[in-house]
Amino acid sequence: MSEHHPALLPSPILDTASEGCEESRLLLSRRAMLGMSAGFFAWAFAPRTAEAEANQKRLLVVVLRGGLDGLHVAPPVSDPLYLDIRRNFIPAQLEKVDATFSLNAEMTNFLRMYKQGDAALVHGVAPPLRIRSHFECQDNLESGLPAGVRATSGWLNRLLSELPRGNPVQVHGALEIGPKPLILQGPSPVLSWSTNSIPRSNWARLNTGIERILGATAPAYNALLQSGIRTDEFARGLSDSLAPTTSGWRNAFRGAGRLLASPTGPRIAALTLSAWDTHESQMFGLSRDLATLDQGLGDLQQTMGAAWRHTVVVCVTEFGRTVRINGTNGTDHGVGTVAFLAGGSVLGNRVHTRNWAGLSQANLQDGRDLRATIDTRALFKGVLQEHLGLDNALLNRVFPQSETVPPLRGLVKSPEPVVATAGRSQATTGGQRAEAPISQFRQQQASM
Amino acid sequence: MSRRGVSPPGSAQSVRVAFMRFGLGPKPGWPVRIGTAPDALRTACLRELNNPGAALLNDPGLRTLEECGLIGLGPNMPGNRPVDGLFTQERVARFAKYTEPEIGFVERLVMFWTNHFSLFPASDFVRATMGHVEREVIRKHVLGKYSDMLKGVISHPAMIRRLENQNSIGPTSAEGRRTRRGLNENLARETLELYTVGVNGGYTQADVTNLAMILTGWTFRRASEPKPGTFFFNASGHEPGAFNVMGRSFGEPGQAKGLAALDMLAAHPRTAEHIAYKLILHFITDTPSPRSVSTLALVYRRTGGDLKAVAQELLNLPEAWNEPLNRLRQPQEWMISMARAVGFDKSKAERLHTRFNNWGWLPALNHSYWHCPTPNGYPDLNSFWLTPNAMRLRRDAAFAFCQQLLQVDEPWNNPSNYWRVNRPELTKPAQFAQGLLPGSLSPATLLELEAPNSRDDNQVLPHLALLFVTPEFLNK
Repeated sequence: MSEHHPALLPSPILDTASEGCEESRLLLSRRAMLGMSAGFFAWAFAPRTAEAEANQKRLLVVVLRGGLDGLHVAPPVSDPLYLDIRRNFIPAQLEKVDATFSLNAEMTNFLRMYKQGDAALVHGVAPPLRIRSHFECQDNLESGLPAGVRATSGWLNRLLSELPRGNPVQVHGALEIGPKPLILQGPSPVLSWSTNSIPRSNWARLNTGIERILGATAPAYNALLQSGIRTDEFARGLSDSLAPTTSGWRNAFRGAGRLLASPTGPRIAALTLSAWDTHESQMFGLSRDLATLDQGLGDLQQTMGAAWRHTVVVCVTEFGRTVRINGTNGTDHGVGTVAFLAGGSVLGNRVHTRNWAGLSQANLQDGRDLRATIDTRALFKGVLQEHLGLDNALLNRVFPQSETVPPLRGLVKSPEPVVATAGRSQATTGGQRAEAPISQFRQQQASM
Repeated sequence: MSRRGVSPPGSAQSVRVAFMRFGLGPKPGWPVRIGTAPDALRTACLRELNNPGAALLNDPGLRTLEECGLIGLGPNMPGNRPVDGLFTQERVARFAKYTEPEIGFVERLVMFWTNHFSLFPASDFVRATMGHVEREVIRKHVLGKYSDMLKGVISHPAMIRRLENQNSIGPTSAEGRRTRRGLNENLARETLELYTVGVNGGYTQADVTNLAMILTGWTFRRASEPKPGTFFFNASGHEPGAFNVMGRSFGEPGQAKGLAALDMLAAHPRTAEHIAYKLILHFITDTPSPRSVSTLALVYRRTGGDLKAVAQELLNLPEAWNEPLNRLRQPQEWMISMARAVGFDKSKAERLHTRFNNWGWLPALNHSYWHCPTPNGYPDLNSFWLTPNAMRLRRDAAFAFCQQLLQVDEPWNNPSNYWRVNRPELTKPAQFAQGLLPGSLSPATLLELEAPNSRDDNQVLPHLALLFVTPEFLNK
């Protein structure tokens, strides 16, 4: 195992990786839950040397909830309209990154990654539903469905269902960090872990009794309990050399990094960071939150060690903000915004746009918002295609009714060859969904 | 609808429905006292609704809005933050209240509406005043009219500050022309989307903007003004003229314009449907049936949004007493019910608050008390709560509760040990459990509770923790 993880890795991770038992149990339990064949989960014990480059891929999706102002992160400073409209709301430090855009230099780690060629921006992007509601647009972003189609599962979960059996991402599974996001809800089981905790029970009577009671009367609860216990044990076995921090966000990034870096840990993770809803005094709050996000990205890179090379991080938000400053030195809900990509696999040092609409009044969406010319599904499909080598047929099952939304290109340094997949189509948009379900109820009523 | 799985009201099975689905969990002795006569449990729920003062907090130590506002606006520096003491005092008063009622249906309704109008204490002013909203608006109207609750919350300084309406200025008002400041549409949008007609309720961006215009000038007094922290209608910042919201024009003078718009929205059929849907979703099922939603919505409309009548009807819906109970109770309900199960009274409220909240047990379960970061509140769908990590943390929370609150806080060898003195029956866990949930325990649970315990340092507490993580105690 160690030949694949040279001294770049912090040694405690190496120690855990070489112990190799906790994570095997983790996987065993999860597979047992799925009722899959013994021959299949045996893959988890295959020698690491047998794994090709393709088997190392990692993907972290960071959902920035609240609606991030893309014009504050990557303003089009070459545009006099920007300088005029936002004149008292221009970030203090900016670094020019191409002919049109500058990057908010408060994001020091991201800027460094960008210049090193490990980070990129996608500008003028939004999910297909453009109605300026946080909760509806978040659901739409995470469901990966067309506007107006109600979600009961998330696209990352459907990805797990659709991947060919034996695909490393599918074998190693996905992880949710913190409260359960829609993006990972659905029929495929996922691991979960959070930075907050409670003292662990050391009462044998309780620990064995609960397994027997749940085993007899609620086997599904028991399976979840076992998965939760093992993920926690696994995570506890991992550590890093970073100084402790009290930031919940940074700890979430570190936990995600440790778990993703582990050779037999999950390959996909999702984490959600709620803030960004800058209706008031946005200059102060946004600087602070962007700085913390940026530190989190730096922590992630450090905790991932050598695995960073195989990683794509996608940071997305449900909508942008009004181009004009509102009555309270902030911005109201808008449409088009920015997404960030970071990681060793990212083809960096570029801003992806498509028919950039600019800020002239005539081009604004409804006369107020940056027009979105890129669908977030195109970004997600592009990342999955180039990073994981997935073909269009599979992507269109993960993102139903997205045939007219082709994958973005040029996102990854060395795109994985696309492999044609046989239709598996276990994925369903059924299952459970997250918030504001009155809308789903109404849609069902209307279609009856 | 199938009759299978329906337990007639008053049967032994519905002890769990009453206490877990509609209440805050059984207290020792109460299920037996209520009895199993037909309809006894529903009658007990109705009894709470029929007590007009059931929801009120009569704690003379709690403060007026002006006092709260002053603390929220005043200096709160690191190391000397009166606002934190005030916030704790308010929350402790709730934990005291939760230990009191027989079933806790009214308290669950208060929790439901508080989550419906979810506030987040990030700013000191909201932190100082959010207890006051719950106490003086939600508790006062939880058995009254929704329109009164809605107007009370939207005009409350805590909500105005939370959704940032205090500086929203009419663009052509006197102040707007002078300062060139303008609208903030946050409060207007969430009023439509979350508090009244709901998303897909038939409103447009123009309705959002117009409602924001109507609500301009709804602000509160600042520290330098008289009665700081109280509501104030700032006429000079109010956008003049009439505005159309969802097909009706509002041209009333001043603040009356907004009150009329909120009255219209509260009475809107889409609001009735939205609220009916949310109540059934929270209390009964992840998939409310169209028939029950319209039944409940009809009661809402017929009674002019009478929330007591709506709550009564909720108990009468065909699925209200359905079993099995197969949704996970939310962490707050579940943890409070552990305290009620061991017979804690209000003298333990401060300790409960500290352990549950400040020690991070509720935060770990993603259910911090009065601390939801998003204005749509905590979700009600089971899939949000039922995760691997959550199941592991439920076990550990039951352990932490029994170990910390019953063993460390109340030393075993102390002759005045609270629960040893008050609850001697705890030494027989199976018997104790049957007193709490008569006729409801599975054979597997009884077998484990009766099994001898030789490996831990006492005979009782691990068994008690075990009871708290059985499906009988976890589900609603």
